[in-house]
Amino acid sequence: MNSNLTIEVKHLQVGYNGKSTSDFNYPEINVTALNNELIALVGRNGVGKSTLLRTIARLQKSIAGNILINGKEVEKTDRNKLATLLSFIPAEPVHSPNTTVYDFVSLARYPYHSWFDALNTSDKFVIERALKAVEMVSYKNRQIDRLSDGERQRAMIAFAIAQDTPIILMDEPTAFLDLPNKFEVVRLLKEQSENGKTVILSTHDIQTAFGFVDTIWLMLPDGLRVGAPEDMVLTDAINRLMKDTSVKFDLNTGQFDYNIPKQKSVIISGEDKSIINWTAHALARLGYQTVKKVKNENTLSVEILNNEGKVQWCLNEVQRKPTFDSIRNLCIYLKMDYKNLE
Amino acid sequence: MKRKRTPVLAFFGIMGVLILLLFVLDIMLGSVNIPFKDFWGIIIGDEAVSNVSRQILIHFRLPKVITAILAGSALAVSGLQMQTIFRNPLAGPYVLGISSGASLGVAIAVLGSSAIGLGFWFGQIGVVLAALIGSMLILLLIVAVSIRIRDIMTILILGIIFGMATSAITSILQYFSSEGSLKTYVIWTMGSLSSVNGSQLWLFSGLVIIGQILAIALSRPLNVLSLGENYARSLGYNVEKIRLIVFVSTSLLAGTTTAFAGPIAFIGIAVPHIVRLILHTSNHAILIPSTLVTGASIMMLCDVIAQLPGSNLVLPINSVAALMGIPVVVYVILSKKRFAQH
Repeated sequence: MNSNLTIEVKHLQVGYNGKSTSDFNYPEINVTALNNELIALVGRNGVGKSTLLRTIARLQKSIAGNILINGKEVEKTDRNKLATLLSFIPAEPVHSPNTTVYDFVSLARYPYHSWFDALNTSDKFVIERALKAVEMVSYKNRQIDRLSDGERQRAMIAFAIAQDTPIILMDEPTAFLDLPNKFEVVRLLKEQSENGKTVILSTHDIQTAFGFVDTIWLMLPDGLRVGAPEDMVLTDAINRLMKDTSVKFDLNTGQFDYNIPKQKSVIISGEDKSIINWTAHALARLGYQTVKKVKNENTLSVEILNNEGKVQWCLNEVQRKPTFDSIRNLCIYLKMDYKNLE
Repeated sequence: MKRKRTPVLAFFGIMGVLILLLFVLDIMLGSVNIPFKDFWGIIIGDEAVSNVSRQILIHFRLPKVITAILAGSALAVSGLQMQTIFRNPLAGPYVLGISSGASLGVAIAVLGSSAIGLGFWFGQIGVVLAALIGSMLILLLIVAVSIRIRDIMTILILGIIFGMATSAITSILQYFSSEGSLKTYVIWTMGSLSSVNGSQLWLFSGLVIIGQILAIALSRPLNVLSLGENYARSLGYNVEKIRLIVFVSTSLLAGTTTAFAGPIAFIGIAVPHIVRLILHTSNHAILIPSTLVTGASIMMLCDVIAQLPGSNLVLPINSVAALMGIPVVVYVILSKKRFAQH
């Protein structure tokens, strides 16, 4: 057995198995996680990401199968012992009046104490270290209810760090955040995995996770796919995620794009490669495919001029040669033009 | 925003002095005023003190003050427990329908017996027993519900609905009962601190002390529950079990108080807020003892006011408590910033 193995999920069936009408049952899951591994659990809304995380954290019963943590079955592990092996941070932003960041993070030390003893110096050290890890030391006396969403999420990560568990599960930690904060949260979690922990975060935001995580657990409706982000691209699993939408993952650019049919063609000429690329990017949005040679009489020709540092886009049409000072104006013209023709 | 916390020791020091002061004042004041000289004489065992003063003090005033302390601390602590467990600032000791259950018990005992022509043959202890049985039956119902239903808001709504149902039955009994027993019932609903004496006081103290010990023992689980159930579960706590113990503690506190002193409103909602406004903490290891002493002193203050010093009139304690508590509750509703909505 691999000694780096922290989580083993065997023949697991998650879901709700009740008399209610909202029966939900996900196909059998078999997957393992290692220490040092940063995993993004990715899937569409409602596919069952939270259900899987909550089942691993024993917040919810499984329908069938086993979950082993460090070789021991979760169902048979003492609750308090489990709280020292695994921390779970829920998706909802924490809300608690009259509670400072320090108060909040210090509650994570409860699994190490009986009901009455106070925090000792080693607890205080762990709490300080957790606050330092998320750069929140100067926030420790701030009220948790008055933090911004990004600060609050960092405090929630500090909670998980202070709980000092080899496994951290975070449900949708980037859901309420703006783009810089999303990247920051993923970076902080990456640091934790580099320190030897197993970190699993669920997200529907594959773009943020893509460049940072080691492994993606992709929850497709017909089963869980596991692999490096790049494996997901090459096996086309990622486009299965985008099923029934008009968005496709572009293998060459590494980006998601609207799947716009490109029936028109354009030739772009100029000196600067990046300006050419971004012009092509914008014109693709209007349905133009960039070509090297004239395809038909409708092929457009855009020339990029550089007049003493001032970039201009010149359209080579039959009668006139309109010039534009920005890509936006070029696009506006092209859109208008086609309306006039109709 | 940083906010300086009131030192806890200073708070308890001031509260200690206040309790002593109110204790003496509450004993001295009444329809017959006991001069401080007599009071002190009885304390130090001076034989020269008039027998009338001695009789009033030992058989009337002392039981009344002890009742005030027990009732005030019990209602305040159970209100705090309910606010934490339901994560709702307007929850109080009666949200589970405990007082409605007690009222129904008393209504059946006082009004029902007269309606079926038996007349009122229960006496004082009959009222207490009827109220205790009524509130315990409601508790059993709530416990049965909370074992089957995990969602705390559903439990809250069911508690309110049970309360409405018992009020409806009480109204029917009122409609068919005689004038005399109706007055007995209405006077019971106004609350009274002076109807507990002798052996009843021992029973009352015993039950309230058990409830308070449970409450203090629960301070850590309550700290974690105030973050939400997911945090509590992932820190290894058995939420259902904790909830059950809290419900038992609350019905011991609020149920017996209602049985012995009638349904006293608003103290239970207002006192925890007063304490939080002063101490700015969410740590129940501090909140519970502080709420306990504050509840005791505010109840004594209410009783002093109810004596209308300088007059022969005595106001119903329930009205005084409501007039004291309502401004605090209104303040809490208006200052939403302390309970930011999520």
